[in-house]
Amino acid sequence: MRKQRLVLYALLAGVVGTALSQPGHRMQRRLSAQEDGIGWLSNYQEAVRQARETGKPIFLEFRCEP
Amino acid sequence: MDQVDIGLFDYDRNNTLYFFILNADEQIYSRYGGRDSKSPDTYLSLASLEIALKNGLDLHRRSQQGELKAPERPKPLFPREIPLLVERTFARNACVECHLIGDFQNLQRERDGKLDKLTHLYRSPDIKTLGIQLDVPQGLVVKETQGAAQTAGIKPLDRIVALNSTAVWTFGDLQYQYDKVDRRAERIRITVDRNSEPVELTVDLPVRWWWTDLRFRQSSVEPRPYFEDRPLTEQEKRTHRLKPEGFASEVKYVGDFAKLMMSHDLKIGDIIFAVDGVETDELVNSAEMFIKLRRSPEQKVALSVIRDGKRMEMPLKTFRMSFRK
Repeated sequence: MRKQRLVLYALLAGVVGTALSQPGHRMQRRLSAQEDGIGWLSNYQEAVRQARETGKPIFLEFRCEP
Repeated sequence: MDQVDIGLFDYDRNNTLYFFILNADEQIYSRYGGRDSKSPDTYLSLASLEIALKNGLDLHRRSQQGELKAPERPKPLFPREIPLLVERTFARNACVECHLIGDFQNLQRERDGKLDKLTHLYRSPDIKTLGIQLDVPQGLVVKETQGAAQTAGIKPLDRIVALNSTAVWTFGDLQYQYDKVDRRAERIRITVDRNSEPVELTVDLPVRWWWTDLRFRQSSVEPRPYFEDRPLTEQEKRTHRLKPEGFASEVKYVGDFAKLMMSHDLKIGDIIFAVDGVETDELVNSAEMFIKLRRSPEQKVALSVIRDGKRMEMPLKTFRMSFRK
C-alpha cells in the first residue's frame, strides 16, 4: 500500500534557469535538482520563509512515497 | 499532512502526484497534475512540466510587478478538523496519508448527511467526455476534437486558456476548474487562444459529463456491487419489452467477491431492468450506476432480472471497500 508525504521545493527559479541554459538532452539534466545541489524541503513553513527571503516562488509537491 | 491547509491545497486526493506553484503569500499561481481513470500519468510529461514551470515563473514576475490580482483565499481547513480522520489516524498515531484525507472527508460527509456523490465521489471529470484530446506534451494545446467540443467550434491547435472565465495554464488547472462546475450545469464556456487571439466558445455539456470510472479509487463510501454491466441498446430494450427510457443493462462481469461474500447470484448475460422496483432514473443508464449513485454500502437491494428469457427477482447486498487505514 502506498504512503504519501508532503515534499516542498522553494527554488523553482534556480531549476528552470539552469535548465534553459543547457543545450541538448536538457530535460534529464534540468530535472535533476539534487544533482544541481538544490534540495527539496519537507518543512512547509521553512519553504515559505525561504521564498519570502529570496523572493522566489514555491514549487510544492504532494506525492506517493513508495 | 497535519499542518497543511487542505482547504487551500485542495485537489483530488487520488492523484498519485500533484504540484502547486505559489508565492510566499500562499497565492497559488498554477497546478500541475491531474489524471484520468485509466492511468495516473495520462496527462503528465516532462515537456508539459517545463511549460508549467515557465508559466509559473512568468506569473510570479507578474505578481511581483503588481499585475496579477490575488484571488480570494479559500476557507482554511486542517486535517484535525475532520473528526473521523482524528479518530482513525491521529488518535492511533497512524500516518495521515493524502488518499485517507479524501476518503475520511467523504465518510464524514456521509455520516453528517452532506455527501453529494456527483461532486464528492466523481471528482476529476474527464475532458475526453467533451471530445477534447490534448497534445499532452504541449500542455493545453488541443490535438483533436469530437462531440460537444467539435460542435462548439474548438479546433485542433487551439490552446485552452480559460474555463468559465478562470485562467488555466496547465491540465491540472483545467481539470480542477472543470471539477468545480456545478454537476447540474448544462454548458460551460471555454476560451481558446487561436492565432494569438482569444476566442470564447460555449460547450453544451453531454449527459453524464461528470461520470468517471471510480474503480481505481480507494473509496469507502462507494457501494461495491461486484458486477459490471453495459447499457442495453434501444433495440434490445424493445426485444425484451422494457421501457425505452429505462436503465436496463446486461451483466458483463461478475467479481469473485460476489460469490465469496454471497453478495448476489448474478451471471454474465443476465439483464437487470429494475432495482428495488425502479426502472428509470434521469441520471443513470445502467443498473450498476444506479446502485452506485442511489444506494449505500452494506445495503440490501432487490434486482429485477431477465435470465434465459425468464423474469425473476434477486437480492443483492452491497459492500463497503476495506483498505488499510
